[in-house]
Amino acid sequence: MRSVLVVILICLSMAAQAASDRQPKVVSLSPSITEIIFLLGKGDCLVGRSSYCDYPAEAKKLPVVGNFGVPFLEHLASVKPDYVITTKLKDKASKQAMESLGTKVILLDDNCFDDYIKCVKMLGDILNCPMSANAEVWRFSKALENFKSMADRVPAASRPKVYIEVWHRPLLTCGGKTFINDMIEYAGGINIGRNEKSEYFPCSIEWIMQQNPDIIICPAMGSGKSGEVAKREGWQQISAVKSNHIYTGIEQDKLYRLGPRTIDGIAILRKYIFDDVKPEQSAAGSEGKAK
Amino acid sequence: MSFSNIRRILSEPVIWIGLLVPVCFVIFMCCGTYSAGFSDLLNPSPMLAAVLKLRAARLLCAFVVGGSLAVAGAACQAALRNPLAEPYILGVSGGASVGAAAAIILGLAMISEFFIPAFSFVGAVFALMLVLGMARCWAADTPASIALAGIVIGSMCSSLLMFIISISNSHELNGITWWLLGSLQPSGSMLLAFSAASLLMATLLFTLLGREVDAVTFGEETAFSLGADPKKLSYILLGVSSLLAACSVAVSGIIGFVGLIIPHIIRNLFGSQHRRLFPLCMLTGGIFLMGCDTFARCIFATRELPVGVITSFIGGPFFLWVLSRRRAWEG
Repeated sequence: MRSVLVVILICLSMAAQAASDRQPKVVSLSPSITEIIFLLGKGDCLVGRSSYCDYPAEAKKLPVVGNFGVPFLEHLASVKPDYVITTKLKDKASKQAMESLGTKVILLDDNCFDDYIKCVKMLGDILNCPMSANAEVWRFSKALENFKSMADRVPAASRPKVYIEVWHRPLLTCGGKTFINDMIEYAGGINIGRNEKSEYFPCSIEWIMQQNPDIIICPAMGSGKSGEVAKREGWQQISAVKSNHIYTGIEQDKLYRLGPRTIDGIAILRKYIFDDVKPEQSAAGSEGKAK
Repeated sequence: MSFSNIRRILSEPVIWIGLLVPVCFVIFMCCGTYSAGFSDLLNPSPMLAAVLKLRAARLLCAFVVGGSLAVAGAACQAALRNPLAEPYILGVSGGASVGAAAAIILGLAMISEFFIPAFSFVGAVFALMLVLGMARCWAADTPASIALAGIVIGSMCSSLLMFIISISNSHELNGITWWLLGSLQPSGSMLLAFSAASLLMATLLFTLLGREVDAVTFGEETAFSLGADPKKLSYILLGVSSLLAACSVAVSGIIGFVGLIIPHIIRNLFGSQHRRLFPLCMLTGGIFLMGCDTFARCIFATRELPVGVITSFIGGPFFLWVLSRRRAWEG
């Protein structure tokens, strides 16, 4: 009798172990989430992605089950995920619809660097990889610390004013409550839109001229398009245009996605911002500069 | 010239509203995020000079677009004898929207900004041709049938636009939405010059045809008895006004309300004689849109509102005030 009980107990504990070892099936509807999951070495947990999730290259092999923040419910149901993880949902009602399919929906913020750290930790817990998550949190925090100490060496009054053109039709830039604003600050610049409360806002040409930025960064403009920016009506009087500090042709995802490559994005911004101060660093980032 | 003659000339609304145009222009030039007083205008810094150049181009664009839409609206209302007719009635705005959206989604707008106005103009003219062709195929010889064909083509264009929007990414969608909302910063001086020339020629033509247009508004039989050819005249009015609207929409995107309301306001204030109505519409529509755009530029420090928001917001109550004033005066 005792041996039977022992066998049953062993079987139960093995079943429990197997259940806890089973990898959760995850769908990511956000490109930055997909990047983090692959960075944590848990790409095999992903069973679906949004059409915007294109990095790393392995991500493209996954079936598309939605757009960024927009699930295709039937496609989603066909991959039977345990979790749908995203940083935004275009239609809040779709959360309920996904939950009715038996899927747990996790909506994460991505407005600042703290949100990124929280996001990595949470993914570490969900995907049973807290060690990798802690390592990434350490790497990210350490890199930010380095950038901050470098930025602090430049007095606030002499930091260059940066206009980052998120999109050019209409002219769209970022306000103070965005991670792009934080990236500019960590890179040692001052975002001209920092006092605006909204996240991203269409701005007027007159306002840009009044702010008179020292650096213009247009990630959405293709490489070699800086001349077009310089030729815009009236812009010739802006400091950045006069001093030829217009940068285009940048890998947008490093700036527009709050993910593992954000640190690379800050490094790019720093190269552009301190082009004059440290000429030896500017070579890598000067391909898109106005000629 | 005696004093009474000068007084008589100045009492003519076309003259004094015409004199009001440069006054408004100078006042609006001083308004904007980048502060400038009258004295700064005389001796501007290089940055202010650049800002003023941008403002001047924009005000000019607002005048041309506002004038074109108001003149086109007055012509459409006369041709269709319908007070609700507006310049986009022959599907011009639908065709222009599809053209602009196609330029954005095909990536042509990334190559050059010129493609958006060019495609929207082509789209508008193509839609107009389709409407006129469709009306001809149906042997539709009344203005109402042409308007119906315009509504059909407009609906088809809306479907196409919805399809384009459904397959566009977020940046493209943003571009299409902003184009649809309308903006008066001119992207090319050639198109603006062409639009300005079209406006002057159309206003002159309509003014010369003023008496015949008056006859048409009394009904076809009366028009015939007065020696006018109502069908031919309706075609001219609708065709030319749609071309004017196509030019405006290519320059600035779709700006509503001006073409519908300004002719009504002018009729209420100065009567419905078309020889006077068309030039007054040109001047008042221009001033109205210049004012609305200045308001849209100045209301927030960092950003601009789409001018269409302001045209409806200011124009609606103003129109109601004009109507009530007229009733009180008549009563």
